[in-house]
Amino acid sequence: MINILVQLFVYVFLLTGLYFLLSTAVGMIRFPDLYTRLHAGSKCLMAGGISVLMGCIVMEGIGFVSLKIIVIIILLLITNPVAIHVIARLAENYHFVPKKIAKNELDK
Amino acid sequence: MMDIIFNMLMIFLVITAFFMVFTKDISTAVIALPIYGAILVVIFVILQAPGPAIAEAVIAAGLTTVFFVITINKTEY
Amino acid sequence: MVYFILAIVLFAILTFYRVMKGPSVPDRVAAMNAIGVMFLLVLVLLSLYFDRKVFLDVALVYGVFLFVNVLIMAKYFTKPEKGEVGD
Repeated sequence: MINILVQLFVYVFLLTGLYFLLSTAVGMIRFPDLYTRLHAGSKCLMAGGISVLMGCIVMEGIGFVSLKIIVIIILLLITNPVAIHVIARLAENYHFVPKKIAKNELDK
Repeated sequence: MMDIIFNMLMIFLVITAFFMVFTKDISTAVIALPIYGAILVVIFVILQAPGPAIAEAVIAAGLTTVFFVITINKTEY
Repeated sequence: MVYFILAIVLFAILTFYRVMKGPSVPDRVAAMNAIGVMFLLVLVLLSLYFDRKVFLDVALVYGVFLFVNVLIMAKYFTKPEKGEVGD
């Protein structure tokens, strides 16, 4: 009984992670601007990665392996926002103009 | 089933290598180099070789890219 | 569990389209970061699939050097090229 419950939790976590990773790939392809692509590269990617690693922890149980996976989660939580922030600081050398979604109808 | 993943990674490796050779911009080729290293790391892990995998992750995906980026900054600009 | 690894590799191949056809350098660096994190997840899942603890060290080392790559690229790709127009 407890084995079936653990298996179900593992599948729920891994499917949630796969959904967020799919949304990362689609957002990287379909978004029109650099800054929106950075949104897809930071939030959806971190949600997918943490979900997949939590599924791995639930699958493995408490032990040495799960402690190593927790170390990998902490490393991702520290490094990925720093990386996205640094890429955004790189982009200000290029003088981008963000695309306007809606037209400005006030100045006529 | 692992065979399909292995073949797909091999095809992705060939695509990345040809993209690095035939692109026009040099910084694009340098950015495509760590992806090549990452695919090689996964292939070494599938082939049950952790030592070459760690060496590949340190040298090809880490150190060589850093050297190429610093060299491009020193020469071209 | 093998199907999850295959799906993540397929998503990495989809994300490589942005590296091929990004209009500027920061697009390509962001897509490279995304592909690197996806392959790190593939390494962790392969370590649990083969049931060997050594492969988790490979994943940890690769994560550290991916971060070093992104930092060095953002520090040294400073000046834009001549005719590049961002959109």
